Amino acid sequence: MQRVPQRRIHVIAIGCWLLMTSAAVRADSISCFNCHTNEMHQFSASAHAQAGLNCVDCHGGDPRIADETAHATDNFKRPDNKKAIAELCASCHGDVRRMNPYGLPTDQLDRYKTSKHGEQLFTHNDQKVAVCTDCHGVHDILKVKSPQARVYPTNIPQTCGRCHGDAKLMQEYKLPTDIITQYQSSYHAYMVFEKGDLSAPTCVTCHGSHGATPPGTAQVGQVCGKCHVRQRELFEKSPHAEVAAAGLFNECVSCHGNHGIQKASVELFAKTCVQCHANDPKQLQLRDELAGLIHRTQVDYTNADTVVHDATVRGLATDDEQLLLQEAKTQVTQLEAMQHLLAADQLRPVATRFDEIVKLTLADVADLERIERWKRHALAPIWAFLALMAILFWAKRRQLEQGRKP
Amino acid sequence: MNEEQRISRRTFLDWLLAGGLLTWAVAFVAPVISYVWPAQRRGPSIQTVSAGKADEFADWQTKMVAIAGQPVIVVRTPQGFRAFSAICTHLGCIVGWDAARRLIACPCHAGFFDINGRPVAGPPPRPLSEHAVAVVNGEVLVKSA
Amino acid sequence: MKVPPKIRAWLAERYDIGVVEKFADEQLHKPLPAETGFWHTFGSLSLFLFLNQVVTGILLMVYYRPTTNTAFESVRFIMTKAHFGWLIRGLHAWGATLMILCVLIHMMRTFFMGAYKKPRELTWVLGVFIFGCTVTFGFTGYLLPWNQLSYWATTVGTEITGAIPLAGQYLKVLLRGGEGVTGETLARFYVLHVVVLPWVLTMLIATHLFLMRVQGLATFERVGEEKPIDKGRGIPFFPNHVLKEGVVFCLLIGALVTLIIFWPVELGEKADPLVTPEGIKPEWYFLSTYQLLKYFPKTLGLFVSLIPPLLLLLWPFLDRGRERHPKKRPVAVTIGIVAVVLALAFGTVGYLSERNISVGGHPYHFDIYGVPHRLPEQPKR
Repeated sequence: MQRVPQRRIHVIAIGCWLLMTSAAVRADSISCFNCHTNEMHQFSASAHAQAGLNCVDCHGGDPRIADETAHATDNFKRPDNKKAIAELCASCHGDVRRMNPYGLPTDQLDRYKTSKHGEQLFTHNDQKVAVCTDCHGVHDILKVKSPQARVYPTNIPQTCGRCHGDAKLMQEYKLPTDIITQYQSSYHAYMVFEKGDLSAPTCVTCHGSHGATPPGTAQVGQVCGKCHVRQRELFEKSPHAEVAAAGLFNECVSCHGNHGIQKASVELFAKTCVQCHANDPKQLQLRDELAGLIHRTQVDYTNADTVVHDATVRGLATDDEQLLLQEAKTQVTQLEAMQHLLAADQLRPVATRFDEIVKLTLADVADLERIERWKRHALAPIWAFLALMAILFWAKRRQLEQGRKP
Repeated sequence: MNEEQRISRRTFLDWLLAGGLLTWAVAFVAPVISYVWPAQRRGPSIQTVSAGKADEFADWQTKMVAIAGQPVIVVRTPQGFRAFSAICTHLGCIVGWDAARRLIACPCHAGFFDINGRPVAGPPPRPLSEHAVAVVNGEVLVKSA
Repeated sequence: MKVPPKIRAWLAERYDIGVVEKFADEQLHKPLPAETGFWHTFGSLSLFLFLNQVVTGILLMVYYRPTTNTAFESVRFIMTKAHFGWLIRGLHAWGATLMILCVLIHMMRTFFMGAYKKPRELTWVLGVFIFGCTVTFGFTGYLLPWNQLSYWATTVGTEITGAIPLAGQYLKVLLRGGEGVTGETLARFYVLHVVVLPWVLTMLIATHLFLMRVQGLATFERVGEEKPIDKGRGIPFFPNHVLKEGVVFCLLIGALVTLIIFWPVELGEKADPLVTPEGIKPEWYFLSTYQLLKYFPKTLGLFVSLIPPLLLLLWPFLDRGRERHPKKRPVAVTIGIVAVVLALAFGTVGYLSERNISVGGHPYHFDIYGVPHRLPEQPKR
């Protein structure tokens, strides 16, 4: 065999070496993971890994070097304060062209700067507030849509709760310490966690996410009104609207509370009006009338429903009555919303209509019962006839027997 | 007792018995005939309910009908008749028609549905279920379920 | 009931109607033993009630629809929209209860009067099968309205068949048409109730009646010493005995109509496989067996509950005594009374179990075994 020329061997060797080192730059074999195994596990399932990013894209450094000197490059970034973290994330997530293919928004940092968290951080350099990584995670960031993501609706209370549920931390800022537990006892939390309705509010629904701010007194109605449209509409027409606009009254929150909000019921009337109107008999009278209307119609509806249901189970023809009941229910539900108007003269006609419908329903059922009773009365002639026939049979038999006797 | 009296008593008893038995037979048969006579034009499997004559509907006019005890709203659009369950998918109030907005509206919490039954504003989470409508011989027939 | 002469002549030219006329005459005027009394009417009452079930059943089928989406609604239609539908349904539902009751009383009458003894053993055996058929009718029919009671009682009932060793699970799946009670079960029970069982029962009854007619009714004479009926003493079946049955028939109709009106059959709530109502029990005729099974582990319970039907079936071959009169058969009569008392006792306990009842003003809860526990008094508000 002819000896291969020396130069050719060197070319081949260098070529192989280049190939190997370029392979070493591939994400799954970069040198970072030789030491940073924890981060490797966290990162491998993340959204950033799925997008084809690796350590170098955020941290810089030299992925070919397999020891600490990999950190020694000029481009190495290790954000050691939260402002730097925010700016690092924003370096990609604020870049419109880069975010376009992913359809992601790019105003997070701007919004963040308007938030209480952002204010504290950028104005006062408060390192204890939340920044991108506190809510989204560091290496294990997942898409918001993913149920394991820290910012998925069912995980939001826990994520916010890491700070806002920490009593010691909250006391430093003079913030309430029991918000998370309050929320967890609320009807909104029940909707999210037990009924699985993800459109129900979590912290970010009302407070916003990046621009998180507690809604000011003037804005509460707008926040609640995003979903509770009709109630807000009616409230704006009520005497309370002016009071709220003047800043004396915290719209929805004054009566319903905020974090620990429970399902609205007639009992609220007893507890909330007296907060301001304790010595105002005229308003208390109005309260009594409104509460009375609602409570009475609710009770009457339940009773009528039971009557119709019992009749249906017995097998009476209650199609019409069921239809009427649905109409009645419509009136009751309307009343419950309309009480925000605080105008008894507007509610009274609705209640009257309700009463008419219920009266008609119960009268119809009573008619059905009358027919049933008629059946019982029909038993008398039936028995009379049967008794007559029995006597006739018996008499005929006696007659035959007497005829047989010699 | 002589023969004549005995015979007439026997005949009288026989007449009574015959009459009673006949009455009895009628009392058995009459309800049966009444039972099998169709109680309504269509039996338990109610397929369609009439919403009246098509001529009675102007464009964008609506009417409420009941199918198996449930309210249904029928609308005439320029493209034809549509019918939807009139029970709001939010909290079950009976919806109505907002002529100005040309939307199905729920009076309880201002939920609005478009002409395809889809919620466009307010709290309703799901669309209204639709019922098929056909115009047969000028009559508007709404199909159940 | 005389055939008009012209028609009779026309038939006589073509058929040997002499034979038919003689047969009809013999059957109609067949003399019955003089002792034939009130207690002997229960057989005919059972037959009449069976005919009632057939006729009202056919009428119900005009409107009933046997699928899970339509069964309940069609029963609702029958009860609310069809004219007299409530009456037809009531006759069918209460008729079923009364039929089982009449068959039971007829069976007990036959037992206590020793009529099952030689030469009528086969008639008795057929009768036991008739009883089994009747009860199966009740079981299959009970599911058809597809309400909560139907659904869950059937679930409990078919679950018990699963306890049969070896074949049990297969039987259960076969009966249910699947793992649980579904539309398949409804379809199978409907076929059984409306086609299979009627034919089977008709054959059984026809044979039973034929044997009874051929051998005549039993008297209190000892086995082997039966004498043919004295023409002078015997009661002609028609019209004498029939008239007596007519009187009882009037009472039965009266009872039936009264039951339908005072205790109307309810529609119930549509079957919901996800919601089990409290205190589900089978129908009254199953209560004693149901309660008995609670005291034994599954397989043993099944064997124990099979003893009464087996005893019933084999009884004419176990009791070879020659006496028929109850006063002369203390052992058999005692066993009979004990059986009836036990059945009633278990049935009552079965009714009371898993129920809260006030006794003498105090609330009691009867547990699953029927043992009462005094409930704490509710504090007065």
